[in-house]
Amino acid sequence: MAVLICAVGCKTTPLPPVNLKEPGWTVRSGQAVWHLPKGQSEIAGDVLVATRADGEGVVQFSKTPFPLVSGRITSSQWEVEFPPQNKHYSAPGNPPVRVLWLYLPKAMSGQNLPSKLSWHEDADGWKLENHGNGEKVQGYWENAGTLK
Amino acid sequence: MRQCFAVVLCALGVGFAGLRVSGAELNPVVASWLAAQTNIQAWSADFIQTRAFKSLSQPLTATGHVWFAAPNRFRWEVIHPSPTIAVRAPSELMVIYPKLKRVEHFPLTGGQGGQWRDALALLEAGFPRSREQLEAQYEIVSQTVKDQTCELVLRPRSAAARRMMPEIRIDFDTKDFSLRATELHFVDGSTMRNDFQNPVLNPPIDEKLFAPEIPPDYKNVEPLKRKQK
Repeated sequence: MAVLICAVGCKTTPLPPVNLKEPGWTVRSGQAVWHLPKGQSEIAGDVLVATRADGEGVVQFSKTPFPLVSGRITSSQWEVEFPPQNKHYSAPGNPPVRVLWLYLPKAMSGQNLPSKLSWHEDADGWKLENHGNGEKVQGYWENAGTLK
Repeated sequence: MRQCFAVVLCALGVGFAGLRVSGAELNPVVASWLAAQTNIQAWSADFIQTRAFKSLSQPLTATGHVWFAAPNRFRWEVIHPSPTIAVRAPSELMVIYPKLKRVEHFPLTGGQGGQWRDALALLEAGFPRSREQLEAQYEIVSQTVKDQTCELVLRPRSAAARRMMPEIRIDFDTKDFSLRATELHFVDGSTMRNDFQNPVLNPPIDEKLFAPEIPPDYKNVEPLKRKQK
């Protein structure tokens, strides 16, 4: 996974923790299956996504108890961490298309996606897919709303 | 990713594997607690699971129930918010996602490679029966008694497990030696704490709990097994 991500020479300030109880955040949690690129493997886990109208977003994917993916995006930068590989990446601007997880908040908030990505959601669940490498995440939401 | 799957398995059983110790001078309370473990044939409790992530200023919580039967069988069942069941069967760990209609199988025997086998070893001893058993898995970092609680801070001896989970904390009652909490510290700075409530010592346990029937429409997956090209 690490080699898929280009973050060479990109210096950013670490984003501070998000308070999801602040007004404006919409939080969804549920479960999902992450299909790795090129059909290497797939694994299920718990997912939490938070979005805000200004484009800020948070995504967490865990195989309880282990965090597998932790990501943040704002209107001006992004960061993502893969704890199992002990890898952290961040850069200004939009995230690389290959970091599919960071496009989940964007997809959920109705933002335009790169042409390689597709988003589908209906009553049975949702799916975000990168048609360039076959990676996809599909799941369902338990809830929608603000954090209690 | 495989390394991650491996450590997942060990941590699912850490409440029990963690009950083994390690290290220098044992506090007498810890020694008594270890001695008391031999009386445990079965155990069950409710739990509140609290996760703290670096990127979020508030923790997330989940609730569920756990069953254990000596020497090494367990069933963790997260009930809310998203149902998940982890069952330690004789030769594998099964993680069941009812709403995804999916079962993940993690073999505990066979030729799976190095790092993850190390991590799995943490699972296999069950409740500690001796100091030696505990020390085989963990190094004791500290033993702190405050009021009626002893906190053990442990470091996994397996380098593979440590790369993902460098520290485990266990709280037990110094009077009745019951397990109060476990707290897992991960390499990214996040933590997961299980606080146990309503514990029952040596309850009758239906064997079916450890051999759940999988509905035929569930998808069976082995995440550690690479797909054939």
